This record gives sequence, C-alpha cells and structure tokens, in this order.
Amino acid sequence: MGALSDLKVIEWGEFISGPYCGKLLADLGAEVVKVEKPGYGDRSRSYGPFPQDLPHTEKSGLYLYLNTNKLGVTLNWASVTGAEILKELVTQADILIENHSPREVEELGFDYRTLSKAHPGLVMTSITPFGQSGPYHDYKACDLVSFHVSGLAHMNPSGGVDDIQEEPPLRGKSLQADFLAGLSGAIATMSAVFARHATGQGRHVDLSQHEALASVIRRDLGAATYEGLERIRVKGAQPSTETLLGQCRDGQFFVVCNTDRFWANWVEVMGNPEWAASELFQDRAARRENWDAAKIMIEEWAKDQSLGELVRAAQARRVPCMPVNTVKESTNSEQLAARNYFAEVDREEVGRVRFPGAPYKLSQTPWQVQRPAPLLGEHNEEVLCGRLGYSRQDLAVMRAEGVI
Amino acid sequence: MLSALRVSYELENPKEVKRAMSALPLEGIRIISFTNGIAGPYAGRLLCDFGAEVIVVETRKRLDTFRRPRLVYPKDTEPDFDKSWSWAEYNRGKMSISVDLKKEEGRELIKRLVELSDAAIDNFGARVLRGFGLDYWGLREVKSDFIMVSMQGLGQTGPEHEYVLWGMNLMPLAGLTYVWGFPDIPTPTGSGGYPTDYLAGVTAALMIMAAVEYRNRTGKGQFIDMAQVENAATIMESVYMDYTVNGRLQERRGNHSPYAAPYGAYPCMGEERWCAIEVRNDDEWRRFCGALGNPPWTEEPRFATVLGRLDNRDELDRRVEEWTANRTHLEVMEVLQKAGVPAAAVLDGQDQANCPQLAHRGTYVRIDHPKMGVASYPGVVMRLAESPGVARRPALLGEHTAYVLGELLGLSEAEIRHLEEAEVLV
Amino acid sequence: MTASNKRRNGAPLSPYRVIEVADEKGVYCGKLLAEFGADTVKIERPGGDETRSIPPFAGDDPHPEKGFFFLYYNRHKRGITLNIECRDGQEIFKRLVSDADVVVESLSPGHLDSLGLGYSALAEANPSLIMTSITGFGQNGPYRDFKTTELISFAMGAMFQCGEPSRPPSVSPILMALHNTALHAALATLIALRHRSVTGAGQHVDIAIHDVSATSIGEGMATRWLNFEEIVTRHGSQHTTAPAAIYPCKDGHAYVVGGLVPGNAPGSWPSFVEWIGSPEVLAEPVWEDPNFRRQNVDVLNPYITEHTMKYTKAELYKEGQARHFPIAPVQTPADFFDSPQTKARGFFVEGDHPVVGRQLYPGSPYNLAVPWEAIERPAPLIGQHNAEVYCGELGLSSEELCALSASGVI
Repeated sequence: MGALSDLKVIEWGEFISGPYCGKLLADLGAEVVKVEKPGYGDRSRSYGPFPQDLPHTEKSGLYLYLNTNKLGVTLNWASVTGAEILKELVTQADILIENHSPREVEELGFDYRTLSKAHPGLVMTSITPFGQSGPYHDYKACDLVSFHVSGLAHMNPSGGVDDIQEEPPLRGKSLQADFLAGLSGAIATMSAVFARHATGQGRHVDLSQHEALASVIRRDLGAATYEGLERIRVKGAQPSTETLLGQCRDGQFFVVCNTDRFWANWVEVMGNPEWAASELFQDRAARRENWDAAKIMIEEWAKDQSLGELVRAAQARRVPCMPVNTVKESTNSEQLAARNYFAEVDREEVGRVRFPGAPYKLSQTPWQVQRPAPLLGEHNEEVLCGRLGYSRQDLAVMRAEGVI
Repeated sequence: MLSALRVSYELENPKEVKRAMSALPLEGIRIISFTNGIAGPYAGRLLCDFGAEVIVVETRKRLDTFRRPRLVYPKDTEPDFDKSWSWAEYNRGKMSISVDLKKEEGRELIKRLVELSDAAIDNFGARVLRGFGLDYWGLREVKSDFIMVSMQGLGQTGPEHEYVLWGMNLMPLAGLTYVWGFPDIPTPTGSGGYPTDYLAGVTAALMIMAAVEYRNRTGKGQFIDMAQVENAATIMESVYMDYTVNGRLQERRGNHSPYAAPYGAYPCMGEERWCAIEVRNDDEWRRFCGALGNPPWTEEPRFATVLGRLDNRDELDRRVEEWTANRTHLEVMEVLQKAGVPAAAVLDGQDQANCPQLAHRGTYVRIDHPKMGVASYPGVVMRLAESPGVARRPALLGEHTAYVLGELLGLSEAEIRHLEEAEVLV
Repeated sequence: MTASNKRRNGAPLSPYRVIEVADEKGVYCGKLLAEFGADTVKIERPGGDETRSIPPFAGDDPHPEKGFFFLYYNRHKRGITLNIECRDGQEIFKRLVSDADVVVESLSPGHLDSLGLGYSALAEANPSLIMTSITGFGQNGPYRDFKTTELISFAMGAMFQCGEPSRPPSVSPILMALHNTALHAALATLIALRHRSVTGAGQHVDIAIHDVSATSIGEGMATRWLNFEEIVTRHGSQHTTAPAAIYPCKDGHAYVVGGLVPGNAPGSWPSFVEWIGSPEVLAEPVWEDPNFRRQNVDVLNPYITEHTMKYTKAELYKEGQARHFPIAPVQTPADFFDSPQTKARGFFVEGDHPVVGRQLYPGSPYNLAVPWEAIERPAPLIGQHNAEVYCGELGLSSEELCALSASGVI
C-alpha cells in the first residue's frame, strides 16, 4: 500500500513534463495508466541513453526512469474507437494528466469543460509550455525554449567567465525545465485532489512551464517588479566572491565563506596561514574587494590537499564545503547509499536497472518501486479486456485498424 | 531463331513490333516442356514471352487435355486439335514438336535435345517420365548440369504422390476449398477457375530462373520436385499458423471480414452486378459517408466505430445495398475510389475486356494463328522497362519438328524421313 | 554485387543484396528472394511496420512481434527501421541502395519519386539497380491511384467466376491475388537480373496486381468475351465437364471427377458407372458424351451422391484412386497438416523466434536434389539489425545512431 493507493490516474503525456508528474504519483502508490501511441510510443523511448549506445525502444534510460510503477496501454486517440476508450478510462479515474497542445486537446474533445460534464469529480492537470490562455498558449516549446523565455537562462552563466557580456545566455543541463514543470504539476494536482475531498468537485489545473521556471528566479523577478531594477548580468555583484571552486590534488571542492565565522573557521582549516591575517582580508568588505587575491592563496594551499580530508576538516568546523562530485561519484556517494536513495528493479529486455529514487522518506507507506516501466502496450489486455470488457477478438480488430 | 517462326506481332502496337526485334533477356535459354493442361504450360509461357525457346513435346497419340476433340474449346468447332483456342491461350509463343516417347527412337531424340537445352518442365503424371527414363535422373546422365522442375500435384515422393489428380483436386487437398465459401451452405465452394495451376506455373518458372542463375555461377544443375498442393498452402499462412500455433481450425466466413465493415460484394443495378467495398478504419468510413452524401443513418453512433459496424453488420449491409442498388457497379467503384475508399466492381469478362486500365496497360493483345485466324490473347504483364517481353503466336502441333530435328539436332532429311516412317514423329 | 555478402555461392541469389520497402503487396516477393539466398533487408518505419498488425496473432495477443503474417512473410530477412519521409532518412536510404542490387517496393505510384527516391533518381547513383515496383494497378493509367486490398484486386481479377450461383461471387479467404502477383514480381526480378548479367544495366520493373490477376488467376474471362462473346460465370464447384464437382461424404466432402479417360479403361465413364452401381438410367450411350453429362448434371448428381455418402473422405479417396478416378477429399487444414503425404514431404518446418518461440511454419513447396544453402533466420524484431547495418555496414557511430533515434529517423 502506498500513500496514494486510493487514486486512479490516467497519464496521457509525452516525454518528460507529463510523465514525470505521473511518476511522482505512481511512485507514491497511485495507480497510473500511461497511454502511448501505438507503434512508436512515447518519444522518450527513442531518446536514450541506451546500453552500449544501441537505440532500442524498450531500453531507453530516460523512459525507464520516468515510467516506473505505471501500467502501459497503447491507443490511437485520434481514432473514434481510441478516443472513446480514452474517455471511458478517464471517466473511471480520479486524475487525468496531460501535456498536449491546448488546440489538439480541444479538437479531440478532451478539454476540461467537455470531460468534466461527464465526470464532475475529475481533476485534470494540463502541463503546457505557456498555459491554456494568453497570446503564447499555442506556441510550441521545449526545455531549451522554456529556459530562455523565463529569463532563467539569461542569469547564466553566473560565474567562471571573464566577460559575462560576451557569453550567450546558458540553460541548465539535463532537461531541468521539463522536470520542474512535472514537479510543479504534481503538487498542484495533489492540492486539487485534496480540495475535492471536501466538495466532490474536480478542478482543472492549468500549469505553465514558463511560469514554473519563472518562479525559480523569483528573487530577480521580485527585484524587477518591486524595486524597478533589472538585474543585469554583472560579474562581481553575484556570489562569485567569498566562494571558491577549488582544486585539490584528487578532486574539486566548493566552499562558501560569506560570514565572518565561516571565514575564521576556514582559515583554521587551512592551518592559520600568515597571509590570512592581513588587513586585506580582515572583514567582509575587504575580503569581497580582494577576493581574487584570496582565491590565489587558497588555491595554492588546496592543490596539495586531499579532498576527503579537506572536506571533513571543514565540516567539522561547520564551514559549508563539499566535494564537487562527478555524476559517477554522486552515484557512489556513501550518503546516498546510506539513505538507500537509488532504487533497483529487474526489467525485461534490459535486466537490472538502477536509477534515482525519491528525495523524501515517508515514515509509513514508504516510497517503492512496485513494477518497472511498462513495455509498449504491456497492459492492453489487462486494462481494455479486464476493466473495459473488450474481448480478445475486439483487440485483434483494434490492432488491425491501428487503434492499439 | 526468331526467323524460324512465322510471327505476327500485336497488330495494333507497332512499338511492340520494334521492341521485339531487340534482344530478349532470356534469349539463349532452351527449355523442354513435358507439359499438359495449364500449370506446366503457364510456366513455359511466362519464360518464352521473354525470349526463352520453349519446346513443347507433344504427340497425336496422347493429346494435351486441351487439344482433345471432346474437350476442345469452343465446343462447337470441328474436332481439330489445332483449333483449340484453350491450348492456344496457355501455350502461345512456344514451339511444338511431335515425338512419340513410347518409341525408343523418340526418347533418343529427346536426349539429344537435352544436350542442347538448359531445363525441362514436367507436369505429366508422376510415373510418366520416370517410366521413359526421361526423369531428372535419366536426363542428368545426358547433361550433368541439367535443370528440371517436376510439378505434380503431390510431388514426386510420399505415399499419395502417384495418385491421379487434376487441377480441381488440388485446392480441396490443400485445405483451401474448406475455408472458401459461405458458412451456411454445407458444401464448401472453393474458387472458380484454376488459381492453383497458375500459382504452380509461376512458381515453376521462378524456380527455373533461380536454378539457371545458380548453375551459371557454380556449374551445378538442379532438380526441383514441387508439389502443387503445397504450393497453394504456402500462401495460406493465416490458416495454417492459426492451426499450428493456436490450435484453431478456421471456418468459412463467406464475404465477411472479422476486421472490417462494410466489407463484401454489394448488389448494384442490373443482373449479376456487384461492387466490392472495404472500409477498414475511421478515415475510410468518413470518406465513405461523405461519398454517400452523409445521409442521416451514417451518423448513428453504432456505426461510428469498426467494432460497432461489425456488431451491426447486417443492418449496415442493408443500408449500403440500398445505396448501391441504384447505381451501376462501375459508378459505385468510381465514386468511392475518388473519395479514397477501397472499392472495385466485380468485373465479368466483358467488363475486363472494356476496362480502361487494362486497355491502358495493353493487357490483351491480338495475335494471328494459321488455322484460327486473329484472336485476343493475354499479353505480357510483367513490365520490364529495358527488356520487355513479347507475346507470340501459338504453334500448330508438331510445327517445329523439322526445325528442331534439322537445324538444332542436325539430322539429315533422310534421317527425318526414316523417323516419320517409323511413326516416331507422330 | 555487394562486398558485404559472405555466402557467395551457396544459393542462387547469394551475391545479391535486396532492399525491401513493401507492405502486404510486396513482402512475399522479398521473402522469395531471401529464400533464394539474397541478403534481404526490410525497411520498417520507426515503431514497426503496419503489417505487424495483421491478424491473427500467436495466442490471440495483438502484439507487434506476434502477428502470423509478419512472422511468416519476413522469415530470412534482416530488419531495420528508417523514416524515409524525412531528409535524413532519404539520405540514408540512398546510401543503402547505392550498394544494393534490387529494391522491392510497393508504395503508391509516384510516392518514392516525390521523396527523391524514385527509380530514375536512384539509378543515377547505381545504374545497375533493379527496382521492382508492385502496385494495385501499375505506375500509370486511369486507375493508378485506386486503393488496393485483396478484396479489391480479387474483385476485378477473378471473383466473378467464384462461388455459388445462388449467392454473390465469393471472395478469396487468403491473399491470393496479392501473393500470386508477388510470385510474378519475383520472377520478373530474376529476369531483370539475367538481363543485367548480359548487359550490365538495371531497370525499372512495373508489376500491377490487376493485370497479373486478369491474365492468370482470372484468365480466360476477358478473352472468352473478346473471342466468343461468352461470359464465364460461377458454378460452385461444378466444372465444365461432369462428373467433376464436390460431393458429400459421411464425414465431409470430396472432389469427385470421372470419365476423363476414353474407352472402358480405369478412369473412364463406363468404369465410373460401374463403380457407382450401374444405375439403369446411366447405361444409355448418350451419357458417354461429357457435354451431355454436364448439361444434365442435375440428373446425374443424386446417383453420385448416393454412392459417395457410403464412404468417409479417406475411404472415398482410397477407393476412387484405386480405380484411377481423380478424386480427392476436401481436406480441412487439420487434415492437410496430419496427412501422411504432407508429413512424408516434410512440408511444415520448425522455426525459432525470440518472442513466439519454436513454432511450425509452412515451408518450401519443393524438395531439391542439389541443396542450396538457405539463410535460416526468423522474422526480424523491430529494428533488430539497426546496429549491424547502420554501424557495421554504413559506418555510423553509435552516437550518430542515438541521435537518429532521438530525432525519429530510425
């Protein structure tokens, strides 16, 4: 039994934002039926990464991660039969998650107004690049576009370059925008479900990926709207002072010394070198002004240090200092292992798969992987025959027609 | 070689005449045809259209089925084995020699011809050539890289292979007749015509071409022992695999499909006029309704899906018939195909003769015959752009005996006369 | 000839490479070429070919790797996925074809041309290429763009002469018109290969199901009209002579033929009459004329039926054959499968497939005296040979392969 085991979800989504939202609910025990197009399936199946770099629609790392704990069916929702079946499934569910274009959704008759007539208790979460309204609502977008249109990319790179004005805006890695949209969608969905408990009335959750990202830069947005200031891309006014990305002999670390106490303790870690007593570094203002010089001295010391010892020493003195882990180092992190962060599951076609789990632990109804991501159409019979009452012969007809 | 035949090419297509003068792709391949009926002859016809020299071994002592007076077509002609239009259709383009294989000297002639030939087609009864020592094993003695395809109903091996079988027995044996017809009629129907004969014929021709290719590269000949019944079964995978894998025996289902509706032959205006219609999915259904002018009945929800139409098939068919009954079969086809719906008039012979598409493709050709005059024949339908085939006239029985014996085998006039007197060349 | 082929002499078409981009109109042609040893690479759209959806399915599970049609007609082929509707796909297709001998395709007439992949475009880079195009009606003509299915093809080619007089004409329960045409297409391909071996030149081969059907399985209908103004029509199982029809037995039916042999010999009419108990009516000499028998078959039938109903199918088969009558049971598919003749010939063969496992398939309808080295492999899984072909033969890196996957090209 999971925390959300009472909930039935239909996930009608592609790639990341919709499916990640569905995953978050599925991993907490909701029953999520993922609907994919026959033949090609979700685009994430073709995205990779793949074992040995050999593309295979049942072996895409992105797909396998995003779709744990879900049942999978195929449906050509553009066909009359396919649309009927999807509507039937939605009518039997609590939640519909979708990330299709508003225009397509309306043309298919799957807009909230239509669906809620037959199913007033439906919570429908629509995740789109720009929301259901406004001049951009029909625009196409992707992770890259979202990063830029929200202004988040404009704030990057925030350090590590000589002349920031020369650098183009930079997006974040790993399709974070899509994931953030999915995450926001999940929170909003659960709020709507909670509200429904009181009144029995469902809701339409209209989530804009653009807005989800803009929320992340709210300090800067706030500055613009509240103070009338525009945070231009300026080097030096940003926290690239009083912090250091440094190189030890066996790795990199990042340290933050933006209080007097941090700085004092850090100096102790370094063994109280003479140069640190200089008036150039006697208080914060001085340190900010002369940070370049401090960096040189720290780097000179750090290059002979062992990363592990350095970090332990700093943490012992409560200085914010951590190793800069590569992805590989992160997956081998003892901290993550101690928390059983990574999950493992056996999956047909691939064997044993290991992927990130959840960043939270529930004292009861723990997060767990009940089943791996479904093969394409794996649960067609279970769902269409078992729940909707179609016969196997009906399924053969539907397959011949291209509905499933 | 071409000059040895009195030919009269398609009278209405001078382009074909010109093309015929250029080299044909199978020129230089010589095939001996021990054939009868349709299947074996069809194989030879396909190859001789592209230039292979196909020599039919005949004898007045035992005429091809379709030369026999009582079975000659048309029925009211005077019984003349050279006036059989059926034989002419199946064997047009080939040479004919008359040799009595029962005579030792006749068999010797054949063996000498084998030395100069590449392949043979055999659809006599299973025992016939074997009895004459002219089966593959006998002929291989004469020419080690010889190619032969034997195409009896059940092949050359197995407990039933020597049974007497005609074309119409083959579909029943193959399991095809059983699944063809209407479920409410106790007797299965099977197909009309002789489809299995043609399937066998084209397969035999294919096998010969493959064997020639193989021989040209490796120097090895081949014996292909093909069973016509099995050949029919090779295109029945849906029936047989349902049996071998699912253990299911398929039954007749008439003109219905389990996967599409409308599907079948719908009666049109006039007697014996039908149009086949098939609607497989939503898109074709929408187009179909549009072609009918979107009458209200087509908007009923029960007809909106394939499953719904299958469930309500009788009512659906009734409605469709109401529409087709007032139109000609050709009109129904044109209207629906124009709208993007699969539809086809069930063409009778006259329709086919008048079919604009077949006419455009030059499917039927006019060819002269020394005794029957000019008539229409099926043309060459495999269209090779650079090396087209040519349809040539049928031979009289034994018409090329003199050519084969004299020019090919190099027999003297005296030798030929001797064979005539010994009644070897009958 | 391709450099990549290893089995150069083992079978007739071993040195050749065939690229197949075909639906149910062309798969059998590709299979035949593969059976003769050609390295036949089937191109499917990403996600798998539509023909994988053709029922029935193993275990009635509509799974893309379990459809009997696909499993059977694609044995011995390699399979890759490629979207030829996009530019990247078209470039890759050209690269594949530049090294190939034959392309078998059954797309709508003009479609490949519209993609820049038509015969003339491809022949520029590979003048010895043979392209065999199989369509419903051919590359030109007023019906060129008509939609084609088995029902449509059969209706125009042969259907009018099939079925019971009391019912509409009867459609084929198998893909007869389509596969018959595919056989002709394979033959035409071999003829073109021979032409090429002499001249070095490839060519475009244009095969239309309509005119192939009209001159083979439907032969005789148009020419009867053209020459004799006669309409060939349907007569159930009754042939133009008699007796030659299906008669009932104790446990089914049999096709009974008699009287084709002249005189009194076994197989003749008099011996048939004797066999069925010499009914008085049939002793009259007028019955010796097969045309008379045919015209009066309604009189004849009850006597024959009375006789055949005394036997089972198997008994009638044996007894009839012993007397040289061409008699054969109307076998059910189970009868054919279980028949000692079928088993002796080894017609059904076993194939192993990663998803459906070991199953029995119809095999080749012939036995060979000189063994040809067959390529023995099951129908390919979706994209099964992508790495082998794209990386191994075209030299793409696996990074490039992943990029093609992510953008939907493969």
